[in-house]
This record gives sequence, structure tokens and C-alpha cells, in this order.
Amino acid sequence: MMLSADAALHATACLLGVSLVLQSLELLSIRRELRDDGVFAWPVLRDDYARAPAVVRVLFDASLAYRPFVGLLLLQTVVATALPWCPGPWPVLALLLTALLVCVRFRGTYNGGSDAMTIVVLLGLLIARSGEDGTRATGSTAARVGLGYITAQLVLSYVVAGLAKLREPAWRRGHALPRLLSAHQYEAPPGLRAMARRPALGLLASWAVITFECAFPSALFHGPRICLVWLTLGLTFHALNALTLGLNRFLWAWLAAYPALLFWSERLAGPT
Amino acid sequence: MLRVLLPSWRFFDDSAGSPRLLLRTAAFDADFGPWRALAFAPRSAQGSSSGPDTSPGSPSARPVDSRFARTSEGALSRLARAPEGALSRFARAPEGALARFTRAPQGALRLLFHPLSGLRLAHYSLVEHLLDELAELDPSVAADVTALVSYRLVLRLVERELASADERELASSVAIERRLRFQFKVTLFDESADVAAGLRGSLARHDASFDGGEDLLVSSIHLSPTARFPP
Repeated sequence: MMLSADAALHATACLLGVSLVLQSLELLSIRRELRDDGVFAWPVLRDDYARAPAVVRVLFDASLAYRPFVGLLLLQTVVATALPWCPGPWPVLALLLTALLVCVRFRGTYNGGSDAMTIVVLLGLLIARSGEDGTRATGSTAARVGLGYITAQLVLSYVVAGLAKLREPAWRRGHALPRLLSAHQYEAPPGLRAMARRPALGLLASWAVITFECAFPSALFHGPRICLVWLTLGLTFHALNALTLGLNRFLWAWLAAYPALLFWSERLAGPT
Repeated sequence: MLRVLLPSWRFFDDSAGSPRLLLRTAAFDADFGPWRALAFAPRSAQGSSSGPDTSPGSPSARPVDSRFARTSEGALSRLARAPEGALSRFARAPEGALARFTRAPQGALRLLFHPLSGLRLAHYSLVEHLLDELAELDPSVAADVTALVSYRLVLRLVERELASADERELASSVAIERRLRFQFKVTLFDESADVAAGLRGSLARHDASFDGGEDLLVSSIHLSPTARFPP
């Protein structure tokens, strides 16, 4: 049974909604860091835009100072919760705007790639829903283009990451992964750190990561069953990253892109 | 913003060592103590009710640029000054139910909700941004590094660490007058050699000596925002 564009978009909206709700709640829970006496104080951050046009500075002050920003996060929570059930491009556009403003508030991104993938999925969903005529987007060109954009970025995210690691001698020799697990900014369990420091295990784990990432395009061209195997591997990979490195935001951001890949894997598979 | 719209998708490929933020303190007329690592785990976000001193004169209480204040008058500015009502009460309220979840979750819950982990990475990014901005400075032009936004943000991070350390010491009845002055530095440790040799990783360095790294930035000496001058 083929996954329809409608079903893929609905699954994307559901997973993206979960991802954005979690992101908003996480930021709301550490909101004292965003206050004027916190680390991420707007009175300091706003100096980044000292040379921006006055209208931009006023708009940023109106949306990124502490209290308006808390309001923005609450708005994002509400709209993200309603996203699967609110058709049309406007809820997506609103979420894209709030997500971009969150990135501005943190001078680029809050948590790197997870913000970037969230924006990618939002853009893809916006493209797909812009083709809606008040009903559904099933089979429309816009839906296919939107899902295609998400798929392309998803595959790129793994391949580029894999190739970048492949270029690094430390990754090829198995030294990089143990060092990563030992890095102070992550919170890998001590047992895992000790295990990864065994040369054979470190080498094996490093090459497993490189192989998985570099070979990820296979998910796209060998039909939905193979794709589901890759997605299961991907889910496991991100879940392990969340448990060992604390990268839970990445898990949900990447998960939101998976329905698009499944949709295109069914259409790009060669004759079986 | 370009980083978000055109992501590079390169993760963990940097083979250089990771920068660490180190801090040392001194009493009013004493020598500085040893450098110690600043943990990025934000203690104050875990339900603590006090933060850095924001009284006038404190480094944290920097007044808003008056030029901005003039240009931001208007309808939007009024919005920015915070509406009174439910939202405002929420913003002012001490962390309640949500704050309980900011304590490190255990097990499968970490897959769903782990705000401290994201915050720790965001704090680490502040140090990386500072290094990026320093690298972009024109070496032929004298620049006031302390005026950089990233420097001021890292300074706030250090001040927050000092404030929470003071809370801990007050709780254990240790005099806080020791920390009148402080200095921080960003040091690059090449942990790959340690790992290759089967030695301890960077986390194990936390309680060990911090000699041997490459100092990328040593700050000027600052006055602690919670400093208490001797009578």
C-alpha cells in the first residue's frame, strides 16, 4: 500500500508539532536564563543589531525582549499543538516565523542542527500546504515538491555528516568518537565512555557511524521496506544520541522528516 | 541566520580539541587561586530562586542604550514593555511545575524532554561564538574585546557560576569574601592524544590540573557581582 502525499504530510505535521511543542516547553522551563538578569539577556543580545534599521530593532525589541519572547514561546506551543488539525499554510508560516525568531534570539541557533532541521521541515510543509485550495493537498505538485525538499535535505544531512567524518583521520582511526563521548559539554555515561575508549570498540563504532551516514541514500532507492529498515536504524541512532549525548531535540526534528523520505522511497524505487 | 536556512550538516567532524571555560578567583588583596573548570550544567536553572545581583553598579545591570530607548518608543515598544495580565504573571512567576522537569530526567524521559542538556549545549555555543568573533577581528586594528556581545554573554555565564557558587558556600557557612575578583579564560585541550594513549578524557580533567592546554583568551580581571568588600 502506497503512502499518499496527504498521509505523509499529516504524519509530518504531527511529528513536527510534537517536536516544536517540546522545544517550546524546554525553553519555557529554562526561561530564567532569558531574563534581563540571565545569561541570554536581551539587553545584551540586542547590541548585535545596533546597526540594523530602526524598524528591525523595534520589531526585535517587541518580540525578543523577555516577556514578549515568553509570549512567543506560548504562541508557538499552541500553534504547534494545533498544526495537524489546522490545514493551510498560515499555521506553518506562523511557526516558521516563531522558529526563526527563536534562532535570532540565540544568535543563529539554540541547538545547532536540530533548529536547522526544524526550519527545513517547516519550509517543506509550507511549500506543500501552499498548494492547498482550502481542502487537501493530495497528489498536488506542491505537496510533492515540499516532501521532496524535506527528503533531499534529510538525505544530505546524513551524507554530508558522514563524508565530513570520513575526511577526518581521527574518525577513520577510531579516536574521534571516544573523545566526543568524553567531551565536557555532553553527558555520556561513564561506563559508555570507558567502553568507547577500548581501541577496537572505538574503531568499530566510528566506522559504524560513518557507514550508516554515508550509505543513507540507499533508503531512497530500494523501496519502502528497505527504507523502513534505514528509518529504524536512524531512529535507533538518534535515540542513542539522545540518551548518551543529551541530543533529544535532534531525535524529534529528524523524526519529523522521516514520512517525507518514506513517501519518496515508494516513488523512486525501481521495478521490483 | 544563514546557518539555519542553508545548514552545513557537518556534525562532530572537527578533529581539534574542545575549548573549555576556566575560572579563577581572588580575594581583594590576595593572589589568584588555581584555574578551575566551569561546568556548563546550569545550577541556577534547577529551581534556585536567586540569580546574579542586578543592583546599579553591578556588571550585570548594564543600563539599556538610551539611543535604543528613544527609537523604540511607539506601539510596538509598549508591547515590548510587557502587557500586564496572564502572560506577564506567567513571565514573572518563579518556575513552578515546569521547573521540576528541568532537573535531569532519567531513562526514556530523556528522549522526550531534557531542557538542561539543550541549555548546556547553548552555553557551550557561547564560548564557540566568542572564539569565532575573536578569529574574525582584524589583528591590525585595536579592538575592545570586552565590548563584544559574545564576551559579555560569556561574562554573564561566569558571573552566574560565581553567584551559584556563593549560594553553595553560604549554605555551608564558608565566607564568600574570598571571591572579590575573578578572571576567566578559554583554553583548548587536545584530547585526541589522551584518547589515543588510553588516558583520561576531558571530563576526567575536571578535577585535575589544567596545565598544558592552549590559552585562546584570557579575560581582564573583573569584580564579582556578588562581591562583599571587607569592612
